[in-house]
Amino acid sequence: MPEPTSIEEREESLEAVKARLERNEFFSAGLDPRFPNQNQAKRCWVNYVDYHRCRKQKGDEYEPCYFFRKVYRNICPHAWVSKWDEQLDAGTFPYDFNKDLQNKQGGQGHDPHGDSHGKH
Amino acid sequence: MASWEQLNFQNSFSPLMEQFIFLHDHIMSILTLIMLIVGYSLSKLCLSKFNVTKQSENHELEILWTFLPGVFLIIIAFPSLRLLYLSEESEKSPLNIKTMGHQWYWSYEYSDFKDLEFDAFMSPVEKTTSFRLLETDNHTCIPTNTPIQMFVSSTDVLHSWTIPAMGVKADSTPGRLNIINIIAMKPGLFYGQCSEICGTNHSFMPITLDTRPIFFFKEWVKTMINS
Ligand SMILES: [Cu+2]
Repeated sequence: MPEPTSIEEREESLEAVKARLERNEFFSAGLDPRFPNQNQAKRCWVNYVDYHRCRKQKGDEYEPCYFFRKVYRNICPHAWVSKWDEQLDAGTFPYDFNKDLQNKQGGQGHDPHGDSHGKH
Repeated sequence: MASWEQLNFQNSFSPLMEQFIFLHDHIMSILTLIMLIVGYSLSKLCLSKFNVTKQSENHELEILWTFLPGVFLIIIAFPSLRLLYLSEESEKSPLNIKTMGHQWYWSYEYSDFKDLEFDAFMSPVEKTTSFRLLETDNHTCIPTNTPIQMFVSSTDVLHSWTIPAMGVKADSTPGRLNIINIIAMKPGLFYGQCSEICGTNHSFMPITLDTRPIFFFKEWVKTMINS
């Protein structure tokens, strides 16, 4: 069982960035047909939430989660991300990740009928 | 950049600005035509000694001068609408840049390159070797002939990010993240100024865009991430 890689370990080193530059490899979030608007704020938010939701549900080692992180880091202003990170740490982030977990389990244990979630 | 006694647009350095200039010239040619015809008729009527005193109605003339302006408006409206949609057309860009308006400077984030971030303040007027009130201490560098997306937002009040030579301008609004699409056709230095009144130093937060061929852009990125 490999140790879960921390965010710091995932950070690209300076040398890696330079090597990537030499190979003309740029990363950009590209276009998202869900957000065809000039205002991309919602897209930034959705990707930030998706990343944390993905890690809550699939664990830190689930690789596809890190795509969301790449996208939100690419398009979200740094100030927004650090504000949300602080809110996550303080537990005041305005999104209920536990609700998603309950939905995913079909409301087991909390909702005896399981109807309200519409999902089994 | 803009210079003294300049009446027209700045020279275009992006396909979008080229189209804007075409539209402007197209509308100006129609306006000149109307001005000449109406001006000629007016002066001719005023100077004429033959006054039409018995004329009370003319259906053909009424129909003509009702529909003709409509036709002219349509000829103006369609290219204008086309350009309106074209100016918000996004292309997949290999590079996203974020810019935040502050009171009173711009900050830039190149997140693809190890969180390359910097602030761009106006160079002091006494010290600058370049253009007064337009030069910044850090230039925003982008590669030429490459579609670039700028994400514009603000941390405090409304600002507006613009490069007139590229035909782009977008409000930088707190809580919004507006995109601007730039394709720079030539290398050079391009200047813009904050275009939304934002406080005392509104006039002193210029934008300097440095467009370079991709090789030199990469060199710039390397020196920036090293420092
Ligand atoms: Cu301003």
